[in-house]
Amino acid sequence: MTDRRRRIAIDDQRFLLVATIEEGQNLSFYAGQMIAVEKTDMRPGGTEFDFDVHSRPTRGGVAENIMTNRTSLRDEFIERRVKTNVRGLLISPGNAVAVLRGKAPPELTYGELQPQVFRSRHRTDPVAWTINFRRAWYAGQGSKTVRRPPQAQWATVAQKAGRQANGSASAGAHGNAGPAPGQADGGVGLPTLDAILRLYVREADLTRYRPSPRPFGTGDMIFDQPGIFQRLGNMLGIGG
Amino acid sequence: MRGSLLPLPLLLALGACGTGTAPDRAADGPPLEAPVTGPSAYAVFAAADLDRGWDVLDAMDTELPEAQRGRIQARGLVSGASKEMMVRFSGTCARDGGFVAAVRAVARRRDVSTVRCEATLPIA
Repeated sequence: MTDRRRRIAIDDQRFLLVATIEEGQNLSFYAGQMIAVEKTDMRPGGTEFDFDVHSRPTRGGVAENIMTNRTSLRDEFIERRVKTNVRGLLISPGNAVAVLRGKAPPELTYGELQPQVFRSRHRTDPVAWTINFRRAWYAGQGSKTVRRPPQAQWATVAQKAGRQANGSASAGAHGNAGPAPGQADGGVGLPTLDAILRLYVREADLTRYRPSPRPFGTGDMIFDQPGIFQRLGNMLGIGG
Repeated sequence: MRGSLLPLPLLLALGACGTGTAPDRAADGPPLEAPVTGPSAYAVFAAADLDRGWDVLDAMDTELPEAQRGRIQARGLVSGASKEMMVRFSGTCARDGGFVAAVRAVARRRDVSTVRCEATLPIA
């Protein structure tokens, strides 16, 4: 069954459901400065979600491209990374580090695990957002609760796993993922098919919402900036 | 002895002047977003209101054949300013593998008669 909630209230703000995102997929969209993301998995037990939320400013109504080097980008990524789960940590180690270093992660303004409110630091109107739902691990009741026919499920899981292998290849450079948690809990340890992220925007921001047909970042310039000793080594023809 | 060390500051200065390596995104791709692997397209329909639109989108969880259900990537509003809803799926409009027809069947059961396929979303 699907969670039918389409209107939620957080504090005094009213939010409307505008999109759902399947596992292994991403969604780029324009919205206001604040969004809410809800992790949904209707099966009993726990599910761990690995997703991240990014925002970037807009200029002339479209997302700005970024020109940066890999080091800055990695810092940016750590700063913004959010990894959480239904019954576990409220704040990821990466975010904890960001807080300790004086960098503000996306504000988790809501004291509960779901939904989470994300508030962008960018003040443009609209703000460009990307939600990247890498994968989820179901650590619940094990194979007894798997509802789908085994053949069909394995086929689809293999397809999704293939997509994720591609996805995580790009994320690997940024310290992604690590070992799959939850396998010791009797779960099958495979990506689940029923984990969905639900995206809400404030009712007042509804007219700002529109998904982008293309992911943001396709015009980014990202380059390596070798250090002085690496340059010296290159000039002398030693090292890689 | 001093003379033999002279080239070192020169080398350091030259090294600092050099440009970095060329932009290289093929090495690990766009870092912030997972790459969209394979083509995707949109099944789009107009709903009388958002609730009815979500009724159609939610019904796909239970009423689409398993093979088609697994091709859904994202669902939701085409924009906050319109009442059109979309399903992004893996495939193209030319080779949708019966996806749009399956969505159309689900939509018809909820009094939505027209479902069209779009290669991309209109940029507002």
